[in-house]
Amino acid sequence: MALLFLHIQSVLSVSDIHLTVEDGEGVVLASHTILRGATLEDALTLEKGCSLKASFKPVLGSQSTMFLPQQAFLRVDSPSGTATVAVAARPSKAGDALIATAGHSALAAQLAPGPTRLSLVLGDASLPLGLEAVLGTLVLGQPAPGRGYKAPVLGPLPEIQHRHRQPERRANPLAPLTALGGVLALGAAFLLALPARLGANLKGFPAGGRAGLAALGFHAALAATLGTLALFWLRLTLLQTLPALGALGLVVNGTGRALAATRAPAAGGRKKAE
Amino acid sequence: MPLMLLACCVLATSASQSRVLVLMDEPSLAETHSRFLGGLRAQGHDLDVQPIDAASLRLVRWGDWIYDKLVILGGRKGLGGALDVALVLQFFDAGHDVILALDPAAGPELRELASELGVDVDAAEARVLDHSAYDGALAATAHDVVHADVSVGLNRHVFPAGIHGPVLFSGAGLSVSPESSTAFVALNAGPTAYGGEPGKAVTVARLAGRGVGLVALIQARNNARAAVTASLDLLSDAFFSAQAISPEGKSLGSSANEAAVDALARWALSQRGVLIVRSVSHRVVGGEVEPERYRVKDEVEFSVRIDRLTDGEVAPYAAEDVQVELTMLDPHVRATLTHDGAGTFSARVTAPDAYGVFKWVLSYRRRGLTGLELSRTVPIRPFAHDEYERFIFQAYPYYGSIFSLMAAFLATGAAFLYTK
Repeated sequence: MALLFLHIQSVLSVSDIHLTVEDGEGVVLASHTILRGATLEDALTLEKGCSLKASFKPVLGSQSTMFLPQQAFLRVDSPSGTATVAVAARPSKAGDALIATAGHSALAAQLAPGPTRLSLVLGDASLPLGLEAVLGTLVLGQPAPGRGYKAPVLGPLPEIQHRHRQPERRANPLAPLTALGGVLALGAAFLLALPARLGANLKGFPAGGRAGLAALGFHAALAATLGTLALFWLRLTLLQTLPALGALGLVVNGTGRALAATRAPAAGGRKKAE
Repeated sequence: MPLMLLACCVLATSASQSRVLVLMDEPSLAETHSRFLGGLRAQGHDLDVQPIDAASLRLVRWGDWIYDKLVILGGRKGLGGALDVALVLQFFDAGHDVILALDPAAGPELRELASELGVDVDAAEARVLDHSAYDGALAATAHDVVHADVSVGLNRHVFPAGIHGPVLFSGAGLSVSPESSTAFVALNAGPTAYGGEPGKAVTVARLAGRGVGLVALIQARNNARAAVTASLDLLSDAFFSAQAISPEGKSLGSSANEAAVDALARWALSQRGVLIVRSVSHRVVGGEVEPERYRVKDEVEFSVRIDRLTDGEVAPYAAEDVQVELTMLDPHVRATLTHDGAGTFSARVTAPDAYGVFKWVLSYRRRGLTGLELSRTVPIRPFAHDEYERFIFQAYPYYGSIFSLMAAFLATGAAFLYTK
């Protein structure tokens, strides 16, 4: 990412800046030198367990000796600029440079993984202006699980739509239709076979009088009983059905006895004849 | 109808009725900060100015709070009379607002109070320094009067009109945990600022850049508010009337301290950014309002009317991020409410096909606004026995077999009895 080199007019300046990325054992993984006034051409990556070391030499004006400013920070900013981590630089053992070391874990605790802006900030109360130099882009790797930066959730959460149960899978309509046709066909065949094959008839139905009435009433009450059961299945409640069934039962009983009585003499005569 | 309405919204209090206890470290602060105190009076507060270490200080009498708000302009002296950190925190926990302005060299008691509110104040000898954005007139040598960063990140609920002009600050920096859901920094230092001792080199960058807080605000879960700053100069008449000068000597205009402090005080004393819930209701679409229970898969609607108080004026609230949940242990449904522009938010959802005791839960917390926590309990019942599918096409063969059996029974009976 190409970034502008921001140089506030200042008597402070820095020599070439050396950036190195080292792993936990001090092995150098990457090394860059930023010449005076330049920035990193490519983004620098800092993975978990690694640290970034910046070495530079602040000077005043055209002097060659190192100047020790009160403020010498290596600063890492989030892309929005709302979060910042700064590391103070300290003189090296030889005393000829300032060194700032930033560990990945310290940065990841306050900055989200991804690209960040790397800068150098120098200043001193004895000087009229400080120096702020953008060095380039530093890409922070993913932190260890549970150790990264966690922003408070003060915004809308993802919507949740309840997943309703899917209706049970039903059989193909062709199968029940076929079965229904078969059942009705069987029923019809039986009703047709009764007279046709078995010789059933109603010649013995009482012509009239008491026997006829009893027979009509008996069969009508039976049909009504079956109809009441069908109505109970379709519409009625138990409390409505039971009284009706009770009444119809009485009718079936009465008319059935009467019908049986009218048929008894004929049955007794056949027995005597045998 | 089991109703459990937990409304934790702050109702608008008439500004003219609030009694404010103002504690001052030195009597001279009443003169050096007269415009700040005048601003509070102009907002309609009734001020009672007392020395911070007065032996007669009380906040509560016979179990009643004597004051509604508390303003502390503190320094080295500790709290006097019946006041201590615990009582002030009780006062805050009871829903009363607090403004805490500390001298950078403030004593441990006031620092502890700030810490209990969620704000850490930098060390006593530390100041906010900025070698690139200091005031050229007031801090030409020490660089300890800095210009706050007002260009980005201003909370629009605290500063609805923004800040137009430089804000001067001289004091110690504050730090707030970025993971805090109650405290946040309302005014930051610039990107080149840091917390350190004037004249000394910094070896450890504790506070740096925009991480240096100048004013921190706290919106507690009980909707009490607090403002903390480690600078008395921020509120002083001198800074209110100062002309800001850049490090290069260029004039930046009059300081905007008075406007910024006025906005901060209005927010901290609950005069803006306050949400008020007027009504909550739920219903079955096409059915009764607030029924005793829902049925599984009912189309239901939740609606709430929210207004917003800003400087004494109540107006309908409008936002696109208000959400409601239908929860039983965990949220089964979470929907975003749509508003009609008149403050009424509503959402329609399908009741989940899990029965039990559910709750409509509206939990709305945003930086700079009072929090809303509402809930309504509504059980959801399963289908009744007669609400299932009555006839199943696949069962028609069974229906047919029963009716054909009935017909066959009647025919067989008649044939058996009457065949000759």
